[in-house]
Amino acid sequence: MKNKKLKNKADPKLKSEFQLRRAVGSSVVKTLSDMAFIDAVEMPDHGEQIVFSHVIHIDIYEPEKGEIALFLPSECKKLIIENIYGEDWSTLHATEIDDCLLEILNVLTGNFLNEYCGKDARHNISLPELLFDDAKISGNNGFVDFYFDAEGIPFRVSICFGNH
Amino acid sequence: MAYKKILIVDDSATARMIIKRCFEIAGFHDSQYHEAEDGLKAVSFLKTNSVDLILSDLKMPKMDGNTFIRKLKMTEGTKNIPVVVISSMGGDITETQLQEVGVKAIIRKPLSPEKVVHALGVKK
Repeated sequence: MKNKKLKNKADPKLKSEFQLRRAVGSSVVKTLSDMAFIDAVEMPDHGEQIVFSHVIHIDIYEPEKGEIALFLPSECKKLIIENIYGEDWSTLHATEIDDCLLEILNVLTGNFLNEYCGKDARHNISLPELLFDDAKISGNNGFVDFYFDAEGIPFRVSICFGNH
Repeated sequence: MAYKKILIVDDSATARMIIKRCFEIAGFHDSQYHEAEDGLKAVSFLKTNSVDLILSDLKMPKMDGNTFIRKLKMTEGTKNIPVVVISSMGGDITETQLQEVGVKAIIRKPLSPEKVVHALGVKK
């Protein structure tokens, strides 16, 4: 344990990877808790394939170039949206559902940048978008995948940012 | 201070709903709320309507919050309307620059009733 700590301190890249994991973890937990009152916890790599219908994606331009993608199974979307709207999923229009998911990623990205780069850093991000094909995401080996559990439902957050 | 008419400017309908809900819980339940999905529509609305408070996002299509707020502050009829920025701060403007153009308060998303009370100095 002692050696590992020393190694992390001596190697800036390792320290940075730790910070990335910590920033992604805390921003996902905070966003879902504050917006949807959902308890999310980070999981070790998830062995099973997470089935999703589309990818929620955003580009980061400043302070460094990057991207964040959310892979949410239908049950997870339902949980988030019903908690935010306080209404049954079936009563909501598709545009309301899409808009809600985009806003979740928008806020998550802001939380991540504040956590990772500091609140005083200038941020510039794109408008979030829905992608119906994950080729853009899975085709890029620069993404780091993080897995979470939202009250029993697994989901994935993929990120590439700066040197990661 | 009572804000009877509040204009919420945000491209996300979900964000507008959350903002309205948080303000109501924070004590602004008697206010009348109006909504616009970008700066351009907000400017158009303000040509024929008066409001007591504007809540604006920064990152929006057509006319972003930065341009919208600067336009407000340069226009005689709207320059004295207090503006609160509610944003994840995804924009090419810093908090200092926003304060320089006369923004009353800046609240980072996700919004909560507690943040509203803290920013506007309201105690309920």
